[in-house]
Amino acid sequence: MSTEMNRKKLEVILDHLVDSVESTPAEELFAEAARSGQDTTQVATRAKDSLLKGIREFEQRKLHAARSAYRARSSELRNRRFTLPATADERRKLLFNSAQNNRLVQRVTARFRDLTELSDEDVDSALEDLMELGAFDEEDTQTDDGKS
Amino acid sequence: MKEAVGSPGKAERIAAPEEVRAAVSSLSEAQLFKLGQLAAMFAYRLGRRPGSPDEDDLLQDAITRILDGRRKWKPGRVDLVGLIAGTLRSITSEILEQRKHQPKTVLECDLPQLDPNEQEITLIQMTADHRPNIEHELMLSEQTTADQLLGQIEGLFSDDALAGLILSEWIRGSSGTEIMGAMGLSRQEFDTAVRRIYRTVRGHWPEGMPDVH
Repeated sequence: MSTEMNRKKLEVILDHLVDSVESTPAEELFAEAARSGQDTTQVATRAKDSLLKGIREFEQRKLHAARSAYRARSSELRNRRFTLPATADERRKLLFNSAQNNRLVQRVTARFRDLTELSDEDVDSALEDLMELGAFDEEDTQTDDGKS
Repeated sequence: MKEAVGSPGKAERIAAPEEVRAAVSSLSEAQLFKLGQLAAMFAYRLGRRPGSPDEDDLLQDAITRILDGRRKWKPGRVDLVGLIAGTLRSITSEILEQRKHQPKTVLECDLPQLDPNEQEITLIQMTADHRPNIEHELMLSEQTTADQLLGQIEGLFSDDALAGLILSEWIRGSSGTEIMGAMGLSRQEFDTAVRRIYRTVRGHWPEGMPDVH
């Protein structure tokens, strides 16, 4: 008799054992195990703990993925801010120049009647809003109408 | 509940974690016991192998598959215990199928004890070097064979005629119904004997059956 045949026989035995548990109603299985002195509460508690742990870990993985995405986005925005010109005059110049040839900038600055009357804080705030909207992301490739 | 991604227009839904948690929490002790027993049996079915999941791993994997939508659970329409049981079976089948394509590994605890004065051969060395190696061949020759293991199982039931007969019939390919009919057994008598077989086998190899070659 070949070893391979015996290996198959072993698998058949194990499969039948699994099938027998799967096809037995839970109450019957439970009652018989309790009668035979098995610690049924320990088995049930362990199974419940494992299932609840699986749910908890699934939720944590989802939360972790959302946090990672949020951090990546925040980091990206922070990095953009670092590219702002160093002085208030240079920042104002950037806003004026952009307002002349970038449609998106024109739309955002339209609420101001006269750009020259903006305070330095207003200029910084407008530039930050524009950066978050991606107005300067592809400035090199944009045409006058803001299209790539 | 939210719509499953990628199935527009269909009513297939993925159960939300809080919904699955509520369902698990409402399972009876008997239902949880059955799931625990099944998971333990599937883990046992997978045997002792490096990286083999235990019953906790299998249950966690099963519930994750339900949560991420790989297995669809329709609350109120699909029995959660049945779904988890089916998922445990799928996971076990997948692992067994993957093993067919993997090189065989041997657990250190399944190898014979080495003479402490001799230099030890690590599993990594055994896996990396496939050239004939006398010591490796000797170890494999001393590892349990399928023939030996089958003989050991049959030996466990030498004093239990009914269990021995059921084992023989299974090996011959008979189904449970055929065995009950041929031996005049009720379902309960048959199931009780089968669970006795399981308890005896499990008691003899509590950590799972040794991997055979």
